[in-house]
Amino acid sequence: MSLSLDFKSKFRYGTRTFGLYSTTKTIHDGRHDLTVEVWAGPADLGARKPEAREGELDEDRVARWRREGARLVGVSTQVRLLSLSLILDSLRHALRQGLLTRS
Amino acid sequence: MFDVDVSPTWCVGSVAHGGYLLCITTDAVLRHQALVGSAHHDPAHLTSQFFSATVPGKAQVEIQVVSTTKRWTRLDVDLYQWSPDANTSTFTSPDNQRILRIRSHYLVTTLPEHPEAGVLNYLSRPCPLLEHPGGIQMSDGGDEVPAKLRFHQGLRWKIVDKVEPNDGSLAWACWIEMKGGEEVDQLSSASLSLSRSLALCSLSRAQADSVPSLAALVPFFADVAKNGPEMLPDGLRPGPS
Repeated sequence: MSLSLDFKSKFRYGTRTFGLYSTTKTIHDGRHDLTVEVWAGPADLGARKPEAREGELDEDRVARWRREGARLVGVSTQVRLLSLSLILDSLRHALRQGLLTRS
Repeated sequence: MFDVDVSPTWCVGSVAHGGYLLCITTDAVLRHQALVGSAHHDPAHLTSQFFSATVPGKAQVEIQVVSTTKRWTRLDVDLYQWSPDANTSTFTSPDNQRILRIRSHYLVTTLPEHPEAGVLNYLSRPCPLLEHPGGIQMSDGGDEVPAKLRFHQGLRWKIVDKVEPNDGSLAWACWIEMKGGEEVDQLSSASLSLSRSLALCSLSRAQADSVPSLAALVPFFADVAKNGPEMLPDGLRPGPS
């Protein structure tokens, strides 16, 4: 229903892999908020593991790709309505649970 | 003004995907900036309101310059369709028949490069996704992309462990990858054609076609994330209100 997006830096990455991190704080009255971070990925899916540098501890290697390899390219805040499919899902769920009966 | 073909591929069910539509408007913004010779070529911020569902077929993107300063160009960008038939080719009375589908506002500027590693800044915080995409086992093709996304064959994804918020928020994370092919090319060029009715066309067409449109992809990914209620465990999801 409403979407804003903050572009963080010049987009110059030869990547086709993106990380999405979304969080929701409230769901009420058929509406909910959503914050989505879009990260440019450091590698293609399943391509290869990041190689450790000489003498580098495993946790240092992990810290390095999370801090230097992946780059935040956009942050989006949104307001969405409950989707129809979600409402249908919960109706089916209610039917299965015997909370509703077909007439 | 730009004439647009809204692709039936980039749809959720029967209506166009919101992120794809913002790719179209962002691409139009970048082309507009090149056409008018603006110094500002990077989208910095957009806000958008969706009034009614956009359907596959013809649409128009109309751009108006609101203000220009040394640092920012602000644009109003509206997407229209015709009713009742989006594919009518004779727009005899655009004023009467046009329906405003999306109203958006853009700030365009010259963005800085991403800060280099090791330089102190508050952008490069650690990625909240905890698995390196290269280390993910993809031999099973990844997690299922819902078939209601008509473009589900153009991408694959894997839901991964993430930093859990400690304030009671719901969180969801995935790595998503464009598999390439015709659909993806279509997304990144956003199927835009310049309106013949506009004097701007006398400006260099080649110049407009060479606009890099990678930034225009970001809105698509921003909108492909899972809905908040879908993050809730089964049985706790809100019902119809």
